[in-house]
Amino acid sequence: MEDELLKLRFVLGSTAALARIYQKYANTLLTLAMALLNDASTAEDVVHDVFVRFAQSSGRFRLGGSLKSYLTTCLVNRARDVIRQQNRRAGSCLDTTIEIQSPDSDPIETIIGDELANQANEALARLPYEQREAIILYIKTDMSLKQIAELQEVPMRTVQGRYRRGLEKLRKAFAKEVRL
Amino acid sequence: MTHPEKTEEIIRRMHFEASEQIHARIRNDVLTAYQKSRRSRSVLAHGLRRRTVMSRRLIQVAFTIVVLVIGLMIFAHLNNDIAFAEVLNYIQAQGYSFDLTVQEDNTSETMRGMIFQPGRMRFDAKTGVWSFSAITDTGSNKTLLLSRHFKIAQYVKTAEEFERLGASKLLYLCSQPIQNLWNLRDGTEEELGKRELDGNTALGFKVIHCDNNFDNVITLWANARSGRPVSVEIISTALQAPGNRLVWTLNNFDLDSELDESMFSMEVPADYALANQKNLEDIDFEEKSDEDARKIVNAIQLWKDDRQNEAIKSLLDVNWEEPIMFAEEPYILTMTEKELASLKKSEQDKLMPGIIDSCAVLRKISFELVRIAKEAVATNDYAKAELHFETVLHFGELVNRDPEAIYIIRLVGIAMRKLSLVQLESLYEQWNQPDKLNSVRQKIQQVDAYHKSLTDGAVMGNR
Repeated sequence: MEDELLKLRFVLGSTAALARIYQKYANTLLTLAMALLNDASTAEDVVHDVFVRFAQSSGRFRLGGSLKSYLTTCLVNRARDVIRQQNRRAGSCLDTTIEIQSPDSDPIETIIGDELANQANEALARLPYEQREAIILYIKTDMSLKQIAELQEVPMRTVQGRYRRGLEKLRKAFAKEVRL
Repeated sequence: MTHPEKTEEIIRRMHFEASEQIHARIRNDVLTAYQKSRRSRSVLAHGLRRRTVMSRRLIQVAFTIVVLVIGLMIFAHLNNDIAFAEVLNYIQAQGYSFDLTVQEDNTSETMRGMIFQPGRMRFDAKTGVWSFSAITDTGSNKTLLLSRHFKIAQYVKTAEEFERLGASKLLYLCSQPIQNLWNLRDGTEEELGKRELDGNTALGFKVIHCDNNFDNVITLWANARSGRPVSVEIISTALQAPGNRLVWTLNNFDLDSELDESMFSMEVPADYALANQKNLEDIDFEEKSDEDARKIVNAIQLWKDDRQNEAIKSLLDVNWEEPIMFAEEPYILTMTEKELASLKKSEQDKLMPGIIDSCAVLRKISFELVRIAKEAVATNDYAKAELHFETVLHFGELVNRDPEAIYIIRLVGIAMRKLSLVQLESLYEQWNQPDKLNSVRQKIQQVDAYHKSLTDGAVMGNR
């Protein structure tokens, strides 16, 4: 309900609404971008571009549909553009860390969680981009495989295959690397 | 232990957050893009409307009116609130000034605050009769304190250094609340709703912000339409001593005037002396006292040695009509306030007891001369009374001859002159000396004017 009101206010010109949308979804999109691109500064640039374009689109923005899905789709498209443009290798930024959100605050668990997250990110980065995208979108967003298939413009069974094969590789990588 | 079965769970819980600076940068770019887009769209829409000719014009006009009315109603309902980010744009922007009042217990001080750009600020304040400016550059972590009354400058770091130069410790503290305002970030606020302030509707925001020393409750009121700040209140409670509370109030914002960058320079102004730098031997004094100066120095020393009669006699023997040249001592007659402040603290600590002691001697000598003069009046020995009263007057004038002398010495000189002149006025009335009486009354006016100029802080620099 809040999103519906935010969309309406955004279209009508409310800066406050846009600020609230940013506050609500910036970190979610950053996490997605980071998982897709495995580079903090590129992820920040992509989120920057997505929100700036979104801000510029207020005149064309359609009120129907989910705001979160819309922003997620914009982010995925932009991330793909970046991947294509840079033809970047799957590497990691040394000063970048990604965290596990843990319900408990035990410092040891937090450290273990952080390490797992970094290794997961490394493992994700080694997957083919389409597999990585399918896994990230399916696990970290509310998107169904059908919606991901529409986004990737491939049949649903292709997405299922990408997801399954990617996850299998990740599990193998974890079984091999993550020993605590 | 391996975690292959937890792979999905690990990915689900992966979380990434950018720093608040990154968020602030992106958010500002987004809001700016949005505002530009809205402006250009309204211009474009206007142009298109003018060019469009429709066949069913009446229906379309009616439809447009209905849509506009509904739109305006929704807009008025939903969109007359400004965002906190817009208020921060003003507060964290470049070049503005405001009145800052700080209240601690039952005392309060008001000063003018000026921001040249984030990190560079200046506060002009008055402590008692003296004017001070504190210029801070948080980038270099430096504060330059200017005593505008005495034209003394000092780079200061502690409240004690502020107070040693005569400034208030509140002036020392006032950069902190401003830095807190610079550190505020959008999304941390709680909206307080609207209220009328200065005839305009203001929207309130509340933020809790903790710095190294204080827990701060910051309340900002901004014009509900423009976002321009109207009033800011910061209640700072000391973390180490929760009973200690400071209330900072910022109002009378001037966001439009251009501020001169030279006012924020961290260089010591050319006509200012840098405080706490010199040794006593670095100060130039005359090499030799003349004969009358020696008599005066001698009189002060004789008085200190409990040889009062000889001290008085030595003073009565001084020729006050000619300029008197002193060498180094006594410092009460040779040193300026600026020179005193320019000395290192250790040197000042050595000199101050002697200066205070000499002030007491001047006072005692003056009272003794007046006592003798009054005795003379009682025996109608007016000439003797006049000589003794005039000696106090001349001595006072000597003490006051340098307008840059040590401040407390100047006040002692004024007191000596006033004491003698009041007595002389009485004497000349009794003695029936109308010309001298008029002259004395004029001098009383001059002394009063000088006293007022001194206590009003008339001796001030431009900067």
